[in-house]
Amino acid sequence: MNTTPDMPDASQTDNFREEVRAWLVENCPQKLRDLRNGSEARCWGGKQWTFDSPEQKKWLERCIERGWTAPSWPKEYGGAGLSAEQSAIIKSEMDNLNIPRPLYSYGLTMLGPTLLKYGTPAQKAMHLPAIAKGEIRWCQGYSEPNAGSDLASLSMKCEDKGDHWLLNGQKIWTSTADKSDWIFAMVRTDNSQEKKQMGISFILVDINTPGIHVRPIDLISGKSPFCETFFTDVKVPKSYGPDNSSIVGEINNGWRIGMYLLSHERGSLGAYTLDGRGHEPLSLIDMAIEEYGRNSEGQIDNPILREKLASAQIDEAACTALAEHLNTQINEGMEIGAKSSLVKYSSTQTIKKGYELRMEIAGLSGTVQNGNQDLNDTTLAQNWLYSRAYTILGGTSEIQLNIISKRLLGLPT
Amino acid sequence: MSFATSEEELMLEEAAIGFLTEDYGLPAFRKLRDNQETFSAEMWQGISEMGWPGIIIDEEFGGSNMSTLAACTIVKIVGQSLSSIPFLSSSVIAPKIIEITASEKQKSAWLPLLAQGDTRTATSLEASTLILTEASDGYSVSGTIKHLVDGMSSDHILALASKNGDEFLCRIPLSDDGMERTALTSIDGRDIAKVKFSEVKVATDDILGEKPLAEDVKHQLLAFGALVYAAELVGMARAAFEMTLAYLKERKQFGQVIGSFQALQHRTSLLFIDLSQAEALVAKTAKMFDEADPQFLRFASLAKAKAGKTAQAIANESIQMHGGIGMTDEYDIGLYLKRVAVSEQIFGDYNFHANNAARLAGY
Repeated sequence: MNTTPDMPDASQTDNFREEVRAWLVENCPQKLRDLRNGSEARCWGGKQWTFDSPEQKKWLERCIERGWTAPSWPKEYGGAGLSAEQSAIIKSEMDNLNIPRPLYSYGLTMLGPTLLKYGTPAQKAMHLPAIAKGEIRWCQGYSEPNAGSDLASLSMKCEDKGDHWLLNGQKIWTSTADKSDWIFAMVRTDNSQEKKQMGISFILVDINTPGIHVRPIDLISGKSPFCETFFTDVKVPKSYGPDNSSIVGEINNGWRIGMYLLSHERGSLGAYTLDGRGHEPLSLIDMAIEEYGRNSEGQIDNPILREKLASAQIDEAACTALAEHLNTQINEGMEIGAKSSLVKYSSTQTIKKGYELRMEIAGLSGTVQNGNQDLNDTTLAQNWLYSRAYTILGGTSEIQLNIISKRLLGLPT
Repeated sequence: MSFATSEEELMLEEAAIGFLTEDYGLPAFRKLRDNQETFSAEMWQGISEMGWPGIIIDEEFGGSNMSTLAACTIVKIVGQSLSSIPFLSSSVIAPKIIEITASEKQKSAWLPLLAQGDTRTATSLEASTLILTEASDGYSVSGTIKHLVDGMSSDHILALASKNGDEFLCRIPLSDDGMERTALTSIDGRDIAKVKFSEVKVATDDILGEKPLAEDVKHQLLAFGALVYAAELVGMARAAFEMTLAYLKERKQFGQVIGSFQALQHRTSLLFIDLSQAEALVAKTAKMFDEADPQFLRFASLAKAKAGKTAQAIANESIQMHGGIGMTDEYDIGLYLKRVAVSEQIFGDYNFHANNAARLAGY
């Protein structure tokens, strides 16, 4: 088993957990633990990043030194060389102690694992340490205006110009592209293939390359992290050094890599509840009680609303039970495959239902929003509006039903 | 989704599928039904030989002391196979009532009989329509139970009877002595009887625990019964779903199998999501009972509500997706629609449990 130098004897899980806890308590500044539940505590890194506090910077630096921004990555790439199990212990102890992760990034959760599997040693050496240290922030270029649910029909052109690639086209829903340094993208390198999944390549691009233009997207809920990213005659070097191609894996064979990255994104199953992501000050039920009061029997004093709440809680409990069951299987090392679609479909319905009920309860005070439409200062109205997105992003509900039909039920095309 | 969480439970599940579904199953049910019979003595003997009536009874009393989840595994397959045996009443609910409320002496006397399958016991907990009065040597009971599930195939009943505002659980032999027992024709071919008691004697020894039934214990028993019927409902939902899925893959119209139409694929997928969730919720609730989880009562209501609603939705959609043939008596899918409709009404329907779950959640 791999261990860090400071931790010579970590063969016992319990010992390891104890030591992790002790180190976390000693090294994580108290201020960050107090902020834990607010998204303002999160550090995303990258060249544009300005730390919210000296404590945030200190916490990141201490974790980088220990390889704990990416504990399961090899040490040579900025990790701590720990096992998946040990890495999970660190994360669970951070949660238990109300300690934020030192670094949040799509590089850590999406690109990193993909490079570890498909990258060359030179590609890994160039990109992974910069991700682990929070120096480079990455964003994802997958969807296009005409390639949403049907992602494989993507058409952004990537032409071979001898010593460089020439990119032309548009990506959309490129979350945080305006704050990122690099983008990983799926592009069309061959148009002649009959099967549209063929002819796609997975490319790594510096977002400050001339010809790239990023525009943030305002949603129905106001400001959002989403952007559109336009590519006009963008020249990308074919390689960043010896054995360090800008394309990961083989040319024209990037679909598999892009899909691997998505499967890694899912990992364990999160099931939304009626109380959404916990942004609201009161639980849904408490909010209903406060607004409507109770009758002489102690029931919410509106039987129609009460019935809706009861019905929603029945569905919520069932959805949670299924997610727990599948997570148990994941933890036992079983492959749940397309079953994640069962939870994706129903838990996104649940969170939407929760916000719909909140809006019903709140009346007109629920329809007033902040004038500034700030990202981190959301009202019920904005959360409700944003919640419409859950059944669209990450594969629409209709796509989930297709997956269930074909892969779980074996219904024919 | 299988309920089984251990090797032992998996083996039990396989054995139950083999015996209840493959050896007997729907053909056996039809044969009985067409003879106006509601009980298979042969199946009962078969499960008794395998020791299933003692599945949750303590080893001390001749049972195998398995988990509530294990019992629910068999219950689910009883639902899938429409087995005509009083397993839910006599082998799961009655032993649990006795375990929780009876005196040691009563347990020693009654549980071994149940565990062996030598006696079959129906239960009537939902409404105390019986009146208990003091008699010269003990008590007597009068009144009518309008719908007693497994009433014709059972030889005993555990019934709630009231006396001066207190409720008592009584164990009463079902005989012709002071009793009018009439078989009702339930739409689903299930054993349901109307039983009228006229001053039927009850010995002091036959009052469970020899004291009134505490309100909280009663609620626990009702919740346990709801869980057991929820397990049966998901079994029927699973069977109806699989039958319909197979039909979608073989029935051709417009030159292709109808399961290739997206309109049907999405509806089928929605039913499968509900089915998977209902199964998971029932399994979770069964574990909560054994762990004495304080949330068990609320979850029993959530589980029965979800299982009932899901089973009804699947049964209704199954008939629709089968089209005309689904309306015929000759085809099996309608059997599930009817049995689901009956089980939905036992131990509280959706409306009761949705209301109860809200109440227990504090609103």
